[in-house]
Amino acid sequence: MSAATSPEVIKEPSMVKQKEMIAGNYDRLTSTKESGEKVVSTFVPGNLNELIMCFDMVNNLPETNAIQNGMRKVSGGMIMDAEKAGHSEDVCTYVKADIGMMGRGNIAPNGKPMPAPDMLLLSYTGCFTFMKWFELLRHEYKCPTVMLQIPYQGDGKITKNMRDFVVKQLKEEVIPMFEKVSGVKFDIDRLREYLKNSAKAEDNLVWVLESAKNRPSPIDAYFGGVYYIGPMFTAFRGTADAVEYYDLVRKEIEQRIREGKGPITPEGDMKEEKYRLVVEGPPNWTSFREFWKLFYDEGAVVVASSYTKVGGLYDQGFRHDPNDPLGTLADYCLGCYTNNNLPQRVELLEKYMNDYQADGLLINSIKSCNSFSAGQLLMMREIEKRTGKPAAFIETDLVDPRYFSHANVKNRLESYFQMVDQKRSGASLAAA
Amino acid sequence: MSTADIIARCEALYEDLDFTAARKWKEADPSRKVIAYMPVYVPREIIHAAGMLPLGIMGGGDGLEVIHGDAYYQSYICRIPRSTIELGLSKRMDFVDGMLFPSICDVIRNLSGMWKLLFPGKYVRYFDVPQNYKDDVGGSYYTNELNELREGLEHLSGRKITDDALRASIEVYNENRKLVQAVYGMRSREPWKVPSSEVYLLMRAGLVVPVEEHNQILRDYLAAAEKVQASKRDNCRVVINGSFCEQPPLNLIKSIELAGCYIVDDDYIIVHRWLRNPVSTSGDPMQNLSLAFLHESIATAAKYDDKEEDKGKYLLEQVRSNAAEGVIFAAPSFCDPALLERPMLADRCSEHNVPYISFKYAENSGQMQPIREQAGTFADSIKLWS
Ligand code: SF4
Ligand code: SF4
Repeated sequence: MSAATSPEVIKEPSMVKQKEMIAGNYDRLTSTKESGEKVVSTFVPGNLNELIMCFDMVNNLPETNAIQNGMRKVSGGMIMDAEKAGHSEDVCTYVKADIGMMGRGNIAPNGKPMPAPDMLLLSYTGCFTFMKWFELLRHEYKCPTVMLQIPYQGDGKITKNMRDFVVKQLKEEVIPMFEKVSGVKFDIDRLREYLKNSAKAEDNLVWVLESAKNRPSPIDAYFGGVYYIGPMFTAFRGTADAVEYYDLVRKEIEQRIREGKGPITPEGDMKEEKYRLVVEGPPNWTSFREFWKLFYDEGAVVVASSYTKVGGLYDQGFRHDPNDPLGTLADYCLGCYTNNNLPQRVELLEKYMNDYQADGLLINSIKSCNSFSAGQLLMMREIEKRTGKPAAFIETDLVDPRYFSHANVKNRLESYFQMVDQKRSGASLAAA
Repeated sequence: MSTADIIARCEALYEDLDFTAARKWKEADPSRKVIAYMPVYVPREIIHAAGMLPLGIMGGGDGLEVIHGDAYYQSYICRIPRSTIELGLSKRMDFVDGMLFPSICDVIRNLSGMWKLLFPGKYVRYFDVPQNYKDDVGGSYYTNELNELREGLEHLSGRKITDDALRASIEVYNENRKLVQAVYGMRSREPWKVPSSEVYLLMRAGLVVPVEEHNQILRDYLAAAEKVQASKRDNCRVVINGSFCEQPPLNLIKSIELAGCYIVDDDYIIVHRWLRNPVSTSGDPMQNLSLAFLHESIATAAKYDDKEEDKGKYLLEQVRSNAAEGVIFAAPSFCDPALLERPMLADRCSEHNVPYISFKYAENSGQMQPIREQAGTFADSIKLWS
């Protein structure tokens, strides 16, 4: 799972900015031979971007590469390459897209080959597959690898023991490895400065996500949401660029609210807001545009989503805290959405349903992703029971085009919207 | 007692999805409690020291009709969580007081939360283990986790778990480990006397009866097996890998044997063999359990290999020490840990010229013909090469 990088839509200044940031990072990544910069590969949820910056290393996120390849419709071939090479058809397609990409020369979106990582930072937040994924990469690259184990919130809370464990690993495993690979000495004050930037940008991100409480919602918090979380969840949190980006987005949304506008879609402003939905689960990337269109064509806007919390539950109050640099990194990693237990996830969705006055819940269940998907059918029932609102379940995949059936998804959504209509008219009859 | 008698009892225990033996144990004394656990490992010593019965749950196998469980899982998720939910919802586990979900994969992890939602009021613990094997890093974390488990069980039973009780329990489980190793050792030496289907049933019995009783079963079996008259067949010797969680149907194990393979090592029900050596009984027992986990546990896909060169080491050691001629990668369908691990292990096998085959199964797989054919061809080709 990961934040999306930018598929093209109508250009607002923030979109142009984000595009430049992403292109800049790919250029940086593909020119490390010349620049001498060192590359660290790591995962999106619970990533330690601020810490990575302290060692002047470039951050490469394989999930984002898989998404890029999904959106450019080349992931399908890569996955099949990996399967031909012996990887099971049953496992996470991000892993196979990444391995298949490697087999094809690891070409970045700018057409240049990506460097082999100098280090793998296995920050293991909210998903077991991460562990195997980087073991597989280490098997290929034979490069230094450091594991940062993030205990799961089995009882729905972060205990002192968990936090101490993460901090200890940071001090005794992660930072020494970074120093060794980068040759840069760790400077905690530098980390504090980056964390200040993070917190500033986080405030604005939360403001943006919560703007969906307006009617009409000025944003789509799922399809549009993946753009808004992009810089925060990837290689930019802690940078001045990210601060600037979130300032820009906030201003643009403020303007939309003033003008009473709905969200921007790839085909312009969304017109009438007919359905307000909460969505659980990551999007499908190979047919992202088509998928989104099925919603905005029907006047359905997503007002809150869990996917936009995989890189942090900022809207539930978490902010990176420069006063406790390592402790805050631990809290951050421990608090990401898929590191929450099922009852917590249900509670959060229920809260979204109420806070955002949603008409229903939609679960996009991803074949690849046990971390998200195992348990979603029970989550759906719980939400229906607790809110009395209708819920629907669709099944797709992240980057494997074989598992996106446009006709099926369309049918399912159409009947779902009818169900919401019926529920509504039933409710208004009852009220009359 | 003959091996056939012993195995008949084990098979009855295996087939009994109402867990009558564990129910009876509990009914014998109103203060008794039963704590269930899922694969792959929990320190049963702590449960035992609390005076409780650890009950291993390996899903419903092929004997359980899953009626409700399927409504909780998409088709692309393995079978064990749905049959486990079925066991819960059909009240077959209504006598169980608590349930432990070891941190082995996202499915079992999420099942722990589902259990909380479905069975409110029951003691449910996600049992986390370290993926860092340094004493003062992963070790301290794990010792504290063990202490939380200890406190949780104390709370449930209303009585303290003393260090002495823990040491005594470690002692009993050390004995169990010794006997289990002896059975495995005997099978490796004389697999014609000790069929794998029997070893499997013996180990399954250990999940559902008190450890003292299991120890006696193992002793009886070892004694009886010595007397078995069976002749060696021209089978090839294989190690099974990838079956550590959802279990294959018994017929699958029998089919592999019928196809001409002696299973000389495997990763079925590894809770019994998780720790390779006895746990020390002197000093702090929690610390000892923790250190044993860090330094004595076997390798499995649910664990992180700290060093790249360690990947596959344990499997190759299994092959070498049991004079195996090949590896069968047999994993449950949709099992992320096993299936993601497989290509790395397969590479190691290739590097060391160890032939292997792979297939997938489900706990309720019915059709054994393809597996028998595949294993048969594998056995034939090994014989041809050697
Ligand atoms: S299983 Fe899910 S969370 Fe894990 S890497 Fe794959 S998509 Fe991401
Ligand atoms: S069979 Fe594999 S995926 Fe399924 S619960 Fe067990 S370890 Fe997890």
